Amino acid sequence: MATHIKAVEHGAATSTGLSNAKLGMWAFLASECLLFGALISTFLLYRDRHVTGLTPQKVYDIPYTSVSSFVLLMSSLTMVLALAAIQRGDHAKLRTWLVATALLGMTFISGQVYEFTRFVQDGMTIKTNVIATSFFTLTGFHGAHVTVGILMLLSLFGMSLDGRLPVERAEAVELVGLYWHFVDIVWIVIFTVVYLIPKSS
Amino acid sequence: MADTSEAVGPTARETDPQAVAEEPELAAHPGPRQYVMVAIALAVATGIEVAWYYANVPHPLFVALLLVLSFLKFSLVVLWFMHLRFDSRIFRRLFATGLALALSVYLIVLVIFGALKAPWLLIVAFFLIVVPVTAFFLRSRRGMGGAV
Repeated sequence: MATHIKAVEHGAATSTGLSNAKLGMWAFLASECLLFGALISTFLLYRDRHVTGLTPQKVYDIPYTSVSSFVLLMSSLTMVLALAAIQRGDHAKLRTWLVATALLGMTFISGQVYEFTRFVQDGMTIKTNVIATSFFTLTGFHGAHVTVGILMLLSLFGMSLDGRLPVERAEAVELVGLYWHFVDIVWIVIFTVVYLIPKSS
Repeated sequence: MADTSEAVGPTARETDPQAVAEEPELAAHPGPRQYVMVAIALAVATGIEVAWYYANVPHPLFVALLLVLSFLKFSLVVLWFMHLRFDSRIFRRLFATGLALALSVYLIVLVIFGALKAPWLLIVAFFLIVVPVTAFFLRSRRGMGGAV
């Protein structure tokens, strides 16, 4: 078991002693900060514009979005439990937590699809005004990221079923986990800045 | 929640003294029980945020508490779930650089395009938000003694 953990923690024979894949993932996540920073600041720029038509602030359902946020937060817990499971060689638990994470992610995405559908039925589409455009672009990009994460989780699940995810390859789960947690922290910021704070402005 | 922790069971470092003896820093890594505690903290913080949303409080106070809670949740996920607190400082530097760059660039954008009404707010925001947030993530280190 000690060997397994060591392989997971210090498996890289690189000049830094760190895994290039993990280094690449952190660099990618740093660049994603800039992508979502651009989308969030665009929303903030347009938020107080005087526009015609419905704006997101008028159609939000905060209790509903709060439940979605809770679901995504809990998916981070199941993701990190999946990583802990593979690091100790427990493949059954790994698959359980991977499926749980994917299901929670699907629940979140289903909630977002329902929310978007309701907004459109209420009369706010992506073309209604610049505030709606920036809102749908921001939350849509986030939803696309969650969807990619779900596909990666299901791929890991399939690999594990095929026996192609031994303890030595635990880093694959860690990398997907980093991506998943990043998507979660982006939502933490969106929920506060886009959904909650505009209430009183 | 407690059941979840039980179902997962202890991690290798809790059951394998040899692993800890060979690599003392493993003992500093969090286990499932700590992850569940972090998740409970995240759920509580979200609950407070939503309750605060319905409270009738002055705007600056309303925004300040929401930003503090958001930062708390952000930090918990990054430091514990993403293991940045326990990992190599290179990862921490990479992420802190991206975060600082994003905060700086978009604060400037918000000032240039008039979302922040007074330009001097940029300097205040830089020293009150960008510098402390970057320093917080750069200094939040535990375990991995001697790592790169």
